[in-house]
Amino acid sequence: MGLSGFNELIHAPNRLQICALLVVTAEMEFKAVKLQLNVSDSVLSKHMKALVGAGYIAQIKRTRNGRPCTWFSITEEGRQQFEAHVKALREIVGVGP
Amino acid sequence: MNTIKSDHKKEAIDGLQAIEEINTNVAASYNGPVWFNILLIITLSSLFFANSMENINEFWNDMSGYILLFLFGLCFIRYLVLKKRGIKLRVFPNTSRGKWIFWAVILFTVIAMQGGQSLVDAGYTNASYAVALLSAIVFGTLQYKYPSADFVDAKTK
Repeated sequence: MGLSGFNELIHAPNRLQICALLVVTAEMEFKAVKLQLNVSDSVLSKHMKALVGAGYIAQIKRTRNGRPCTWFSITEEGRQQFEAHVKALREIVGVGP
Repeated sequence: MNTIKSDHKKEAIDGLQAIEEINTNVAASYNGPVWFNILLIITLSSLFFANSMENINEFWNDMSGYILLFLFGLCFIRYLVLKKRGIKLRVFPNTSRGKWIFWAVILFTVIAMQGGQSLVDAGYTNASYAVALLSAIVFGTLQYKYPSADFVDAKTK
């Protein structure tokens, strides 16, 4: 789109919502993100893998009651990319920064 | 060319709406700034109850410990319940804008409480209600305008 800050990777609706969720929380568990987005495990895994691979999201493996669970948090790079992307979207729509 | 532009615009609007949906429906409901609520309750209760005691210091000496313990207890329970559900709250803002607003609100709280005390001391007890009302308006406006803790304001209008 030629706008600085616009990020093709983040722009996919589910990824955008994942970033929006993680930017306002410290950490979220896989199940909680899945519940909020109302998507299947495989779909969420695919999006998370892409975001983790890009370094926008950090993955933390923990155990709860002996069961493994995965938590996610947004990285500083991810936060900056998300904010720049939101700014670019606002510029496209014409609502200012 | 115009079609491409309008497609981009539609995509951008959809994106912003997706974020806004998260901000308003999800983030605001469980991540309304915890510290906002604490400061609001402390400011308002101290200003209102100080009138009946004629001295804000008396209020703080007599009741502050219990009230603060109660408030922090509530916040802590809320934190634990949500953590159990897989949502770890961020208690303090970590964006530069969030931090600026955080310190500005702290400063406002101190000034409002000092102002309220001065008015009570000067005999204008009813005027301290006006300070409390002003505090409520300021806190309420900020919380409405910036529902999430980090003030990610992605409203499309």
